[in-house]
Amino acid sequence: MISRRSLTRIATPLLVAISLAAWPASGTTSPDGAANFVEGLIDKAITVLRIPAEQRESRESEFRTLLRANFDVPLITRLVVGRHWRRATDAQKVAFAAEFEEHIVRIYTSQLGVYSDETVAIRNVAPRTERDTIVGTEVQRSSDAPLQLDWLVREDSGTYRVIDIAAEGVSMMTTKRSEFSSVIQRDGLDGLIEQLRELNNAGRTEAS
Amino acid sequence: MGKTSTIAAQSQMWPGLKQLAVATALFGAMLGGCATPPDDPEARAEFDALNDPLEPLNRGIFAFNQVLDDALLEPAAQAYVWAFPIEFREAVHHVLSNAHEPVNFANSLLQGDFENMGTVLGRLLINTTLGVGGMIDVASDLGLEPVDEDFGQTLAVWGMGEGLYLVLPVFGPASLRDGIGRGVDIFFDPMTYVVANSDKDYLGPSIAATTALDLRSRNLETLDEIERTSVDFYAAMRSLYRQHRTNLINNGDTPLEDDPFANDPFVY
Repeated sequence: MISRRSLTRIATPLLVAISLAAWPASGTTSPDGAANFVEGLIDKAITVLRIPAEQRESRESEFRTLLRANFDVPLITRLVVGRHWRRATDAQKVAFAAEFEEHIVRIYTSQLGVYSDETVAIRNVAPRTERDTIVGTEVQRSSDAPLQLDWLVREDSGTYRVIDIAAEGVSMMTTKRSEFSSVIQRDGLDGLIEQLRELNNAGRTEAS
Repeated sequence: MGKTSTIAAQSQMWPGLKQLAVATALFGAMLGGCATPPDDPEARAEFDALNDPLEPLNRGIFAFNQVLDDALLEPAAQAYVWAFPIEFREAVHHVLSNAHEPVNFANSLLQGDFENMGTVLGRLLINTTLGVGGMIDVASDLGLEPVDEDFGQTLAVWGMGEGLYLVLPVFGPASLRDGIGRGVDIFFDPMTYVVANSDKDYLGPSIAATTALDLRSRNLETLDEIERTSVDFYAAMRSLYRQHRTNLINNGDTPLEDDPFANDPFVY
């Protein structure tokens, strides 16, 4: 029996081969669109990360704007909760969405640090499904080995949005899903919302 | 559990019973350390994918490791960073990495990865000579980037599954497969034989301590960041460890051959 996974494995190189053969250098194919989108997004992200760490509030609000405009936040929110989303009440969904967005803003504005001299180059672009494309980029750092950063981009009627990011093969979605699932199993969705709120508040008091 | 604590209390009167009490407590922890698989099919699928049937025991060891880290390893690594300049620490790291290259070589060979074998051999020759005994990583500047191969990865390439997720005391996240790998790699490590043939008792512990300081000092910010930004540090580390290993096994190949978004069997 052929699993879905191995089908994708066979299908993906095939798709690339076909798309390369069909559109030699037209520049109108979906992978190119996704690559252009990521390239633009990286430029915008660098602008945000140039804001010094001391100006935490403006860093965070600029990043939040960037996040809402370029990431499929509702989809990411739903997927990160996984199977528990269906049983969640509307109130829980709203509360979780708010705390989760705050959580993401905090993680990225602190984890990425302040932009110094990194350059980002697109390494390769590969369709994953008919609407999703993986855009592989490489972050060159003067002090360390290059970092591999892969973007999972979804196209919806001409609009591109990021649905996951993987650094050195570590997917943000996979990590957070696994972490949240563990908490939901132990303390329920309300417990997770409460713990995220505490974590967000801890970050807030730490800053001031 | 009540019984165990009674024995522990009695052991203060009969010191000989102390070992027995420790053994009993450990055995009790292991029995209580097995998680029961859930009945709900979706929950069951998730339980199987997590592959962590020893979770309660693993969490206990994880907590123990954190106490050890807070009390000893992290402060020691911070002191190491404070006391020595980056150039010195980089040189130490390069010497340790260079001495470790035979492990990379043996495992590249066992995996039939001839390209990596060439890279490792080139690195060892260049860095030992031009790099002054491994202190400077000249090979990286010449395009021979570091290779990271161990016996756990070799077993994976040979087709062995992960086994189950394990947290090792002191060493931290692992799996049954990677735990076996760690054991086997000791025999590929030339330092093992240097230490065994030396009459200096302090050599083994010194190398172990330096290796630990080097590793921990290089991860001070990352680990701190993960702990500060996670609601469940244990679960976050389990997922990160697993994805990191998958990436190493695939040698960080392009997304075409190795899809980093397929680690978790769900549909986006």
